[in-house]
Amino acid sequence: MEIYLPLLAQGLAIGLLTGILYVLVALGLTLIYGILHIVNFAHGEIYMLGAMAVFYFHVVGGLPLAPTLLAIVVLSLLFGLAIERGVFRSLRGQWLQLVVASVGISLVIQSVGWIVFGIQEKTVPTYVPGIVQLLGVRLPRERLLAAGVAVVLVAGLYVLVYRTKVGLAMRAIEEDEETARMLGVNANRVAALSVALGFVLAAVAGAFVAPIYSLNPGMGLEPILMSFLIIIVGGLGSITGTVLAGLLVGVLQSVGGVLFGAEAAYGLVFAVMIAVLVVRPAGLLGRA
Amino acid sequence: MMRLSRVITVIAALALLVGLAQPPDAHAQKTFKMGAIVPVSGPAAAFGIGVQHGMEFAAEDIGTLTVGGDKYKIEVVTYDTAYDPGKAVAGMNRAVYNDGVKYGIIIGAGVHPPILPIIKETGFLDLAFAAAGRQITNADNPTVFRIMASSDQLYQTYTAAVVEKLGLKRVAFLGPNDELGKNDGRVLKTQVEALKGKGVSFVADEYYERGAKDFGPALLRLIAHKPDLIETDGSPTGSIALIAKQARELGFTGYFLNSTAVLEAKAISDIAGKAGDNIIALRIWAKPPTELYSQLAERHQKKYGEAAPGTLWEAYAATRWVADVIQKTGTFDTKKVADALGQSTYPQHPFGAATWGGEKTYGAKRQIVLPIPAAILKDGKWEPFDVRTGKFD
Repeated sequence: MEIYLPLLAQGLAIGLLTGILYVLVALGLTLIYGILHIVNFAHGEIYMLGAMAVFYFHVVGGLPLAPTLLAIVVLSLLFGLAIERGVFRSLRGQWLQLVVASVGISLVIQSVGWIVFGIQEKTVPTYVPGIVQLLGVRLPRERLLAAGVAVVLVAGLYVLVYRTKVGLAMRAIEEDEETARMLGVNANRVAALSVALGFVLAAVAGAFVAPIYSLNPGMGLEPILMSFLIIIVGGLGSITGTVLAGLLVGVLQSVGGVLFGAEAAYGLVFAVMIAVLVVRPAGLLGRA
Repeated sequence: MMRLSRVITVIAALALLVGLAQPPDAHAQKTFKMGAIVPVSGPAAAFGIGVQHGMEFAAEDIGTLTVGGDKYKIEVVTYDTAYDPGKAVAGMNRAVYNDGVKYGIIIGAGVHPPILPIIKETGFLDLAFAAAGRQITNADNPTVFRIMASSDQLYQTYTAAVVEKLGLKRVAFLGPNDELGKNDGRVLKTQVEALKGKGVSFVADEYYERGAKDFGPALLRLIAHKPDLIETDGSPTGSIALIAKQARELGFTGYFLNSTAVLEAKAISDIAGKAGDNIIALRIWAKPPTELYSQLAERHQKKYGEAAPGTLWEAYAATRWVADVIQKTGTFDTKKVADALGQSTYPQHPFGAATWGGEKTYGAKRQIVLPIPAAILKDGKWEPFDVRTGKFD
């Protein structure tokens, strides 16, 4: 096959748009790990619930999109607060128990999901149909919308964590929880907020990815695996690292797919990720 | 504590009495188990549910099976494979060794290779719902019957006809990177290369991981070869719809041909919208071919509140056909039944009269031969796609 420039440009565009979707999904995961060092295995299921909520509220129930999104934000926030208060708080600092608990939550949600939502694939009509053509490169509007949401959320999260008092408290807890408590930081409240925000980010990601793919209760598995890869390679807890790693994975997958075929591209992604970790064990922007 | 044990004793005694009070005929009726070793979860679940429902309808309609003077009620036991070879092996082992199941429908060319040794060892009579693979139906597997049109059959009879009808010149293939996809890619290539004299060429093939949702890179590679038809092979409806949607986003304006999967028009339309137009599907009836076909469709709609999955009819027919043959031969011995089944015909198939063929292609008369329809998707609905098909031996 003749590999020519427009083909590579299209591959690069697909890669960047796919990469930013990965970032969108991984953001909440990196927030919860970054602040509380909790590996939230239930993240993929919250993402699935966000997508299913769009299907049931917006598609089946006929609720307009804006109130649907608002409902998703509120519900995921409350769910996050409940999980933090009911499960994560009493296990804080106990890494293994937290892993077991979050895997358990993930399995419970997925099992209930299969019963409640059924096994048939569900679909959400696109929010913004059509294609944008830019210098001969074709960009689906729905992916551009999801990418825009991801950019806004990354920026918002960055401002929250690095430019606000709440963010300062989050970073203080991440650094040294005991000292932060002595300095008057309400660690429980900050932890609850971090988990709730992580849940909101996952659910919103699901809501914007919903029209791009089809939905089923097991849909959270693949994104969660990719998200783990991304936050580890990006540097655990680093927002900028997550963005870089997400884009890198997306571009490698897509451009690698164009150059060598989809099957080879999968191996290429993991080979490069291993190489990154060998050179920088803490990830691209992680602290050793 | 005493009171509780008394209550339990009374309940047990009552249960015993109720059991003994049944008429003697109820005790005389035995159970004949048929396995549905199929995916009922995951992306291919619709295929498995169709088979399960088809077998259950058939069991209801058969009522009682009389073999060797004894009466049997057919029980359909489902073993979920999730279209995963490992789970298929586990399900097969459970069916054969734990539950004593000797007959069943198994879905998937991708899951067949690891279970073929179990079939050979035990003589399990497999009504295979698997399009690809000469290794499935052949002289070495006398108890394996393929109850759907095979890839060889579909490509042999349809490729030239479709290409000529639409005046196409460049054919490409996109399939899953498993037994089914690799086999179908090879078979299609052979069929298209035979049309070289007519200026038709096979331009590219690409493969993807089952369950993938992003087909962009693979499609880009294919589209770079400027195909005017992409064969999308036997993936679930959701995957085919995503392929169509993403291909159109990348500027592909040609046709899609789907030979081996059973597609649901509404699901394609929901996911891909207008991008689903010009998907040509084989094995889809735009108009009901028989009265029985319509009756089963209506019955499914009434019972489950949704359209019948595309695998329902073939599963229904296969269950009834094999039950007929068991009854006629008067034995459950799978080898004897397989011999008799291979010689039989079945005029009551919902698609039209069916028989077994494929001796030349597979070396065994174990491939169902029956009318194969074609349809094309327009505005979310199947329309008949009339082509004069070739011959399959």
